[in-house]
Parts: sequence; C-alpha cells; structure tokens
Amino acid sequence: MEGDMSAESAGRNYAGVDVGGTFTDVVAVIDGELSIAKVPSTPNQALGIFEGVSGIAPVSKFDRILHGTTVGTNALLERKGGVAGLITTSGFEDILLLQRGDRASLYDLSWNKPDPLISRDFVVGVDERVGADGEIVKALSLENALKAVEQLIEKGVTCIGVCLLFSYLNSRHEQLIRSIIEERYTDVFVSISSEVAPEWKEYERASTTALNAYLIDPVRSYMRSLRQALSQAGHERDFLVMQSNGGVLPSEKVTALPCVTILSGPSAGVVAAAEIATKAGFKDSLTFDVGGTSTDICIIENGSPATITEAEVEGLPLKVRSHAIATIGSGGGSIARVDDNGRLHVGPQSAGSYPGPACYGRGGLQPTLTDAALVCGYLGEDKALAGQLRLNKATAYSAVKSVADRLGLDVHQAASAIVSFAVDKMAHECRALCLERGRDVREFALVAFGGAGPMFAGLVAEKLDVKRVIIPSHPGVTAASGLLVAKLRYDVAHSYSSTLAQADPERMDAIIADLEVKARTALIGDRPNSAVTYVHTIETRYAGQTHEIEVPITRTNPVQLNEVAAAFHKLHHDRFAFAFPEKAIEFVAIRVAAVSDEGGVGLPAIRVREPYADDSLLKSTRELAFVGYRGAADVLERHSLSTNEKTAGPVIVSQYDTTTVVPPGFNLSVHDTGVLILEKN
Amino acid sequence: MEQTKFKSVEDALLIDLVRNALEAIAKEMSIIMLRSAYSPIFSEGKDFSSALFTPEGYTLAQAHDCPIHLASMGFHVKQCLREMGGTGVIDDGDLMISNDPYSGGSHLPDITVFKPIFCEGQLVAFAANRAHHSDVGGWSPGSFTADAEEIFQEGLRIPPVRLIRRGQLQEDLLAFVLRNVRDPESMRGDLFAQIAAVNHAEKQIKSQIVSRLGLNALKLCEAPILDASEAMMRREIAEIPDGIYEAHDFVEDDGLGNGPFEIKVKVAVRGDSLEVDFAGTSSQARGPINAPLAVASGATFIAILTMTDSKIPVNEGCYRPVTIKIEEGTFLNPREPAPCVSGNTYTALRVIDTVRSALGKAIPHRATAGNGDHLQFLAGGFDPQKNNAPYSFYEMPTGGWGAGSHGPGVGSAFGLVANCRNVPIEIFESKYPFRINRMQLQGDSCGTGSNRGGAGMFKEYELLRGTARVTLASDRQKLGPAGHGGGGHGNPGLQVLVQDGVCHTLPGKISDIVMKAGDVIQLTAPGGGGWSE
Repeated sequence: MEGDMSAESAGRNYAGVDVGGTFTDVVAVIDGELSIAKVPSTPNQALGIFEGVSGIAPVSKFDRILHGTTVGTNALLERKGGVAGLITTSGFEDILLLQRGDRASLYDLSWNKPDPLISRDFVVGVDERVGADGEIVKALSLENALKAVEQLIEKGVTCIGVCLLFSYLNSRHEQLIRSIIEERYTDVFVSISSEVAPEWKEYERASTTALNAYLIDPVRSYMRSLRQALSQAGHERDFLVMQSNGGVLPSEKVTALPCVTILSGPSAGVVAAAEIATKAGFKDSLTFDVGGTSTDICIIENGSPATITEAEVEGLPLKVRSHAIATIGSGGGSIARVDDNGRLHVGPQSAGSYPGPACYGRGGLQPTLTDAALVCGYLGEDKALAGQLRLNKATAYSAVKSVADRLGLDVHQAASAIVSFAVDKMAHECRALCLERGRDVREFALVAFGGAGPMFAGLVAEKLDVKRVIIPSHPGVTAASGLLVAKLRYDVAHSYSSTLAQADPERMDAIIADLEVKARTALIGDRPNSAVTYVHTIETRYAGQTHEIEVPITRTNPVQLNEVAAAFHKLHHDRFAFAFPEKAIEFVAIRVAAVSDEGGVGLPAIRVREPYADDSLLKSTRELAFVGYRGAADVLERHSLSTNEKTAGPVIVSQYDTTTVVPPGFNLSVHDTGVLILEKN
Repeated sequence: MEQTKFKSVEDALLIDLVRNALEAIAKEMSIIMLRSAYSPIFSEGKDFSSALFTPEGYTLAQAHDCPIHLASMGFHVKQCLREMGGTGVIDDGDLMISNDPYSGGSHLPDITVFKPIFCEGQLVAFAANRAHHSDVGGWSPGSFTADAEEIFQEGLRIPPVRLIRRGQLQEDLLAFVLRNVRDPESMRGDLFAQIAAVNHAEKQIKSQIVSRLGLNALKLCEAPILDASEAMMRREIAEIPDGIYEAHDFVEDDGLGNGPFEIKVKVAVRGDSLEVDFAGTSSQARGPINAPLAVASGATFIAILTMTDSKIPVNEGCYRPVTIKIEEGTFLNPREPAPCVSGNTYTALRVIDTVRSALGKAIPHRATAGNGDHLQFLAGGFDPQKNNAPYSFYEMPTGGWGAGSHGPGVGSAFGLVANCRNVPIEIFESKYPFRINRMQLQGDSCGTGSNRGGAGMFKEYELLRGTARVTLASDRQKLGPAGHGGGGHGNPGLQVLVQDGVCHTLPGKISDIVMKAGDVIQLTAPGGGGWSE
C-alpha cells in the first residue's frame, strides 16, 4: 500500500467515520496504527461522530476526517428535505409528474407513481426555448423569469432548482435565471440542471435537479454543524465526504451538490472491498454487504467497482455517477412469516434496528433471519454483538417456533428453511446482477462484510457454485475503512450526440479539455500544484441501440475514432457475447473523472487487537443446523487463527463485529493480508 | 453426526424452493434477451417476454415482462404442440418458432421461440420467449398496417416449425424467413437473442434444479406449483359474491370506416370459479382490430389478475378456475384470414376494461373506473437537414388511469397490455425534425368523483422541415372511459392537425396524412374515469 500513498498523506493521522442506522463506525490510522470503534448513532449524527472519533484520539490530532453520511439519504427516504421550488420551460411544468409512463407493478392497479420531491404548486414555467442544436429558439424574457421567481419566493422556498430543455447544450438561460435570483435573494440557494447533470433526458435531469434542491437545506445545515463542532475542538481542516461514485469531496463542495451523497455509505464499503480483494489477489469480486434490512451487492471487475451514470432511488431517477450497487430486500432483520396459503416468506418487511429481531430481547416477537441464524447455531448467545448486545436464544426459539408450527416442521428445520429461503433469494440476485453485465457469477469471489455478510456468504457461495469467499479483517466496519482508501474524485459529463461517421474528433477533444478544466477546478480549486489524473470515457452504442457502453480512451488530439470503435466492438463482445463490426456506431456522451491522490492514507496491513477480545474463549463447540445437515462444530476466535492453518468446515469464526459461518464443503484459511478465505473443496 | 433431511416432496418448502428457482430462471431469460437483442424495441419498449411451461404447455413461471404476451403465450405453445403432433414427435435439441395468430399467436410481429427441455431422456419443461420484431414483411414497414384487410397483407406467417432439429440449425428455413423481412440482420440478431434466452433456461433448470434437488423434485413439484396458485385463486374468487355481472364497451372503428364494435361480457361467479362469456360481441372486423382468441383470452386473464391478490404467483393454475367463451367469427375470435395486428393494442385494452368493469360490480373495492388508452402516432419522412436521411418513429402519448376506492387514478401511464417508457423530448428532437411545443397533463381530461381519474397527456408536435407522412392508430376518441358509481367519465382523446392556422380534428385511425413544415399535431390522450361510491 505504501506505493499508493502520496507524500502528503504518509505518516499522517486519518479517521474514517461511517454513520449507519444503528452504529457509527470509526476506523482510524494514527502513526501507522489502525484503531476501530463502534458507538451508537445519534439523531444528530454529528454528536455520534464526535464521540466515536474522540474515543480514539482527540479530534485535533487528526489531519483528515473522512465521512460517509446518510443525512441526505435519510432526508430523501423520510421526505424531510427543504422547501424547494423548480423552474422549467413553460409548457413542461408537469415534467416531474409525467415521468416516463411505465409502472413498477404489472397487475396492481392501486399502484401510483412515486410522488415528486417538489410538488406541482412549487413548479413554475418561464417563456424560453433552446432548440435541439443548442440554438436559442425563443429568448428568455427577464420580466417573465423574475415573475416566476417571485411566485416561488412568495411560497417560502429556500432553494430553487432550474431545469430548462436542452440546457445541457446551452446553459445561458439557466445562468440568467440564477443571476436574477442571486442578485435579489441572497439567502436563496439556486441549483441549475446544466451544472447538476448536464446530460440529455429532461425528466431524469429535472428529477436530479429537484432532488439536489430538495436536499440542500438539511445537508447544508448538517455539514455546517459538524464543521463547527470539529473546528471548535481544534480540527481546522474541512472534512471530506464520500460520494456515490466512490470518491470523496470536501464538505464545502458537497453542500452545493448533495445529490452525490445518496449512496455515500454503501459506496465506501465497495471501495474497501475492492481494495481488500485486490490486495488478496482477487481482481474480479462481488461485494456482499448484509445489513439489517437489506443486502447490497456490487461487481468489481479488474479491481474497479462497476459504476453507472444513472441510478434510481425510491423510484426516482438520479443522473449521478454511482457505484452499480443492487439492493436485495433481505437482511438480518428480515421477518419470516407464513401466509394464508401456507407459503413461507422471508422479508422484505424488516424488524429494523428497533425493536429488532426477537433475540435482541427488546420486544420484537416476529422471527427474523437473525433469529433463525441463532437457532441454527450460527450465532451464539454467549457473546455480545459488537460487544454491546447480548442475544437471547429462548426468545429466538419461540419466535421461530410460530413459523415451524405453521409449516409442520421442528424448530431447527424451520430455522434452516428460513435461512435457506433468504440465501436462495440473495443467490438469485447475485447471479442476475452478473448476467446483466454479461458475466458468470462463478468467475467471481464474494467479499462479505456488514454485520451479517460473513454469516451467509458461504451458504450463498455454495448455492452459486462460487469457489471463494473473502472475509475482511473487520467486516463490521468495512465502510469506515473504505473511507481511508478513497481518493478525491469529481465526475463531469457533456452530451455529444453524433454518429462516428459524422463525429468531429477535434471538437471532441476540445470538449474533453473543457471537462478536464471543469473537473480539476471543482476538485482542487485553488491548489494548482496538486496532482490530478483523468479518466476519459465515451458513451458509445450501435446506431439505434438504447443502451450504451462507456469506452475508456487515452486522451489525444484529435480523438482517435478508429481506436474508440475497435475498443467499443471488443467491449460489446465481452459484455454481450457478440459485436457488429460492420454496423454504424454512435456517441452519446463524453465523460471525464478527475481523481487526485489526495484523500485517504490506505489501510495498513497490520492486524490490530480487537476491542473486547476475550481470551477465555479461544475455542468452543456449538450445534449447527443446515438444510440436510445437523451436528456439532468448532467455534474459533478469529484472533486465535494463524496464517498457516487450514480448517475444514463446518466451523464458526467469531469476532467482535461479526460471525463467519464456514459451511460443510468449504475450507477456511487466513491470507497473509489478514483476510479469511473460504474455499470450496 | 446426526443427519436430518427434509421429509419429502409433499413438503411445501420444496415446492416453494423450486418455484422460486423457476421464477428466477424466467427472469434470467429476460436479462439474457435484453442484453443480447439488437433492436431498441426490446430495451426501451420491453416488448418481449419469457416464461417456462410444463410438458403439457401449462405456464409454470414467468418473468415480469409484457402482460399481454405472458397471458397468451401458453395458448401458442399448446396449439403448436397439437399442430405438430404432440410431444411424442419432439426430440432433445429441437427448437420451434411460430408467429401465426391462427396457431395461437398474438400478431405477426410477435415471434415465439420455444424449446423442449429434456433431462435424462425425459421431457420436463418448455422454455419460451416471445418478442416483437421490428419487421416481419407485409404491406408496410414495421408490419403495422392500419388498413389491412387480410392477414396475408400483414407479413410473413410462420406456422409451428423446427428452426433447430436435434441441435442442428435449419439454415435453409432461416434463410427463407429472413428473405421475407425488411431488416434481416436485425431479425437474425434478435432471433438468436431469443434462442440464447431459452438455451440459458435449459442450462439453469439442469444446474439449479435438477442437479441440486433431483429430477424428481422438478417433476413432482410442477403439478403442486400450479395447484397452489389455483387454490389461491379459487380462494380469491370464492370471496367474490356469486352472481352474474355484465358490462359492455366499444372499439370505435376498424380504421376502414366500420364500427363501432361492441364487446359484451357476462361474468358468472359461481363459488370458486368464474365463467366469462362474450356472447353478443360484434362480428369480426374487416380492418385489423380483431383480437385472436389467445389475445382476447389473455386480456381476460390480465383483467382477472388485476382484480385479485397481486401476490399470487402467476401460472396456469391461476387460469384454471376461469372458463372463457368466445364465439368464433366475432372480433375477439376471428376466422382466418381476418387481419389482427391491432388486436393486442386497443382491442385487448378494451377487453381488460370491460371484464374489469363487470367484475367491479361484484367487488367494488378492487374496481377502478375506466382507463384511458395510450394513443399511437407513427410518422416518417426524410430530413432535409440530414441529407434527406429517412426517419420514422412510433410515439405513444399516455392516457390517465381510472380512479378506485384506493385513491385517484394514475396520470399519464401506459395501458395495461404493455409497460413501455415514453421517449425523452431531448432524444426525440435530436433524432427527428419535430419540436415538442408542450407536454403536460391535461388537467380537465379526468373524470370527476370523490376520487378523480388520472389526467391524460397533452403533447404538441411541430414539424420543422420537410414533409412527414403520419398514421394515427388510436381509439377512445368518441367515448371516454366510464366513471365508476357516481364518478364522471374521463374525456375521450383528441387528435388535431393545425395546418395554415386551421384546426382539423382527425379520426382515431387514419393513415397517410401529409404534414408540411410548420404544421402541428396536437394529441390529447383520454383521461381516466372518476370514482364515487
């Protein structure tokens, strides 16, 4: 890892803080030593962060604090954003309501479209029109625009999004409206679509702009309070925030662009997984991050996480470069129930973190996947989860019994059936995700993390015929450790619609040059000496297709079109198993990502002593149940394992922040980098 | 060590495990299709479907695809098997194709590919994929002839034939088919995508089910999977009060000046079964609005699925409690060689609405008022700005759905037969010499009531240069979707051509209007009916 460390970051003290629903995780490097902490999350996330970091060292001691946040995501999920308005081209004010006309459910007519974040009363049109070539067809009437702005101000908006047709080709009208607002209403924040998502598809761009405007208030006030708290404690430097794209940005920048933080936490986990798997020698892996209500999976190819340029949250499109994370509605808290027709279901309902599974003993009565795991012996009641939560097997047992009775099975059978159903669902989704990318899941290693990932990964691997599973050193704080390896990154794009035959390679390079300047300025602004590398891609497809492939290119002036074409045919063949070398190719967009090494310090490859390590229990045994198998198995303490042993499953590995289940048919070993490897016989 | 195995097949869990695996495989087939197909109609239009069938041709599991395909594909598989002489003549490694509505298909552009799956020498299932191809020959490009009078004008008819025999591609047959269509390269690519999908299903059934759970698990689970859905459906139907419930509605015309065509339906609920009788429905049309039996029946099933618990796993078992009676010679069961390319658009939509309306009288809490159709606007020409390059497009402004007891109707959404997405304005204007002047919800189009219907879309298209030939193939232009109870009707749609400052209201279905630069077409999709107790 030393090689990846920039001179600036070497020997510095960094803290990565990931805030989740239940816990705030901190992974810190101080003088090259790794420390971890887990503290309960607080309603004002800043407090938990402060407590978690200070628990390791005084805040003033850290050179950098890196942060994975859910403030924006929660504001979206709970619909607690700011009072925002939207300005559109007149005649298109219904854009957020019209959406695309498709539906999420084929046969359920009580379905309705997702509610827009900005309601129709807060959308006003302005007289103007830009044409399909970026030409001004109808000039903006300033008077009319001012009237529209005043209309929104009267409604009490604090943020205004502006999304006009074809503004990605010509942003003049959007800029004009912004200056009208900023001149008169200094306390109103303006977010224009040509900056938030300068790409075609008006609904998707408007949705992204609306989301951004909607999130500005809560994210801005949160960032401000955290900055103040840190600075009062002597940490002067702006903290960095994880984006959905796996890179970090200073919190000041994110304040104006909160839409990039929607997948902040999950992305940090993916960054860590990519780093950990690559170091352990696995270039292609599949992340398997099991939390309380859901499981996140993401493909890592050749060491890099797969990304998408358009994500979807709560049914709303979001044109933001994001890790291609798919979410499965199964997690540790997923509730098992038998319906009126005698069918067993596991999830998508979840007991959440409170009251949580029945075995938490906090009043939850319905059996969850965690309860089933406890009955099956995967979890033990002798040790507390994360050192803080003791499990009660009796309540788990009686909760699972309610399902067992309905099914006519004994409690162990019912518990392993619940696990088996959840594992099947996870396996189906893993296979489907790889298929969508034209890959066979068996070519990947699973990287399992999150509190419950290591418990189910072996079973999922078995179902998928996946040969290897990687368990990071600290699976329960993987996202926080990802923050330590993340780099500063900023993504920009420009729509470029042309067939290859008609493309102007000099113009294309000019666009790339502009994008580089834009991205660089956003990334390092006033520090011209910082090293920045660029990743250039051209979104390309066969003429007439509607799905594009991002073709990476090396920058040349003019752009070498024949090389782009050759690379495209090859990628298309790799992904879809066929190519049409004779067919016309067309370009859709040019993208540039600027990446600076400035950022995290990397993960030192040293194993640390865990908090709460308990030497009195280095080895014990437990009764385990799997479908078709029941018997005793060893339970080993993770810190007691050494790199030169191989242990045959079934066996359980217990550690402070997770439990690893090695199913029958798998061997367990410890890799030099400290990760556990489960390998199929 | 003590070993415990699950009891046996009667164990409901194994059935669920097998069903979950089959449903996952059906979904994977569609992923394969989507990722390997060439034509955009598949990726944007989602105009294809995948399903698995029992050796008898009963639907076993299906993906979340195009409803009218899914509900009617079983007819095709079954009738093809009958015509070919039963499963006894089928070999391992065979693969069949067909598109003929008179062999159980929907309309000619929809080609169904199906493959028998053999394990250890026994036929255990069929995997099928149906996809709408961009052209299958016939009178007009795209094989969507609005004024066809015989199916022979609508394109190449493919009876049930083996495209692959014992693993050998029948190159001569493929060459024959491709010679008869306008874009043979696309069809070849798309057919191979369909074949890849059914091949994937074969592989996965073997590896995910047979090799893990055993051949017997699959064979023994097939019947119980259908029985379980049947039982769930019967329980749902049993809760519908017994009685005879009637409704009627119209397809306004057949594009050749004839009409209206009436759909009459009488739904008899008796205990846990349903009989749906279309007696009194109009005779078959001269124009292409006829819905073949499979399509009309499929639409009836869609209506029933939307009126019952949407969580029941959909398979043949759901259909068993339902008897459908449609007299031959009506426009819902036409005789050869009646044209039928439009049957699975508005005619199918109207069947769904009519059956829903009848059943809604029995179970008002599941009812909604009438739904507004999407309109169909096809245009083509040559763009002077692009060296007179030819272009053509197919736009579908979306109507409003009817309101229900659950709340107001959805504004501007696709009709229930399909689940497409509309084309973004910025993509549309970049490709075609048109400008969209306005696109909004037509606020006053929806029916009134304690819950209002959804609003239809209003969209205005201006031709910027050159000329364009326009076809409109829309219904619900005279009669708006009905309200429920005291709820008001949704407004009918409206199609207006503005030429030299003069507005001309156009009929629902019309071919070959010529637009010139500066002309404007204003399309208003119908709004949904309102709902009141």
